Amino acid sequence: MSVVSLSLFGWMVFAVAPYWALPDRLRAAWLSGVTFAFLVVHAPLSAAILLGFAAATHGFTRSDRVSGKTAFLLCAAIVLVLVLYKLRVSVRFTDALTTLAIPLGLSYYALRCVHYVIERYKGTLAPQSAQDIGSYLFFLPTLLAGPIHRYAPFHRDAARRRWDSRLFGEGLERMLYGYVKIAFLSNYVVSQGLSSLVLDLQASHPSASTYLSVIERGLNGYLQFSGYSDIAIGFGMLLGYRVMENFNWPFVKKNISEFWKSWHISLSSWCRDYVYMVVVALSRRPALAALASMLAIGLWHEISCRYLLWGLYNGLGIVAWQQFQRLKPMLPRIESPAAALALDAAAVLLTFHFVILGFVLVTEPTLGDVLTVYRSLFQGWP
Amino acid sequence: MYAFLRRWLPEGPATMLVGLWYALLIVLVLWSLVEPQAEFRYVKL
Repeated sequence: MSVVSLSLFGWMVFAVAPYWALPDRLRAAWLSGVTFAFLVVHAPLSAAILLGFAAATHGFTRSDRVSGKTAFLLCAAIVLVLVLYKLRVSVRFTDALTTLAIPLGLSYYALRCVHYVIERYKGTLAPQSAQDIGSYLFFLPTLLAGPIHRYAPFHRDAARRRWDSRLFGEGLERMLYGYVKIAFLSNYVVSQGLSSLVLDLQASHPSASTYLSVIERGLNGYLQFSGYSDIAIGFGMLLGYRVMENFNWPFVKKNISEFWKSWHISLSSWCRDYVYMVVVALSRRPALAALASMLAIGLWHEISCRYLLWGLYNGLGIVAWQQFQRLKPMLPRIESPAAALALDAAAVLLTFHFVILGFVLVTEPTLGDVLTVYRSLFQGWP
Repeated sequence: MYAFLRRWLPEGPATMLVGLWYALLIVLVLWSLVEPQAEFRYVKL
């Protein structure tokens, strides 16, 4: 299913149209029902899995206190289902750009369930009713591709929910920006315009052509994913919810650590809370925790060597940045504002190139092709 | 967008500008949808 499709748009209209006319107590049930119907129509397997996850999450966390053993086993079972499907996809993987056969939204709602179970175990959440958990997990705006929003703010919004014309207008505007990013900027300007430039340059300036094609992939990735997040966030606003932000100008950040705090924020903050903090608490080694988090982020996308390498690449980037921070006090201070500005600009460019060169690892089908792209980038300049 | 424009403009011109802005964006989206779409998909649904 494409994000910019009449079918998905139709489901959005169907979900929102009667929503505000219904009595408040029926709204959550209506939305969960529409989401379930959407899944049954488009991905029945995913509907069954999510129903199972929701039942298990509610059933095993109903008591006042959730034991460590229960929480661990439940999280392990959810992650195992996710891993099994990811492995199946990796085995069948043929082309980076084809639609993959993972149940719709599984990568996202699995992490939501794990988040809920861990927070119940930690005691930061009280036991919730089946309807509340259901409305959190069967939430159409974020079901397909995130953001991986958290339970507490969602529940707070549900309790405060009321008709707000300003929020509704803001939601429509946000969705429009999302569609512009995907349909116009990414699928038309970048994919058509920049692609033809890449093709034109291929024979005369192969290195410049490869460089532009690498930039094109980075821009496309950002525009597609942040565009989808805009649509999801805007759709949430139409229903009275403020879903967490997923991107915050990632390509103008001055270091790789800042980049990862502003790219796919809901996933990176999930990994910070449930991978980084756990590894730091156990090992007292921030470098090891950063590596573990980035490997988790990589493997969450896909269980394959290329995503493992991509995770390692970004993890090592963050470790290098952490080590550099230790050396920073020993470096001479820059007093001139112009020099500081130039340094900031250089830092942004360096981070941007580090990130887009990393994308090559996951957008080329084989490691051989990755090496060909890198070779082409660094050879043949006049 | 409207709140942003209202910092500098009175209500009428701000409403008109914001209306034009949204109309332009809607036309761009519809126009790019009738053009051949590249099947680039980062978001794996």
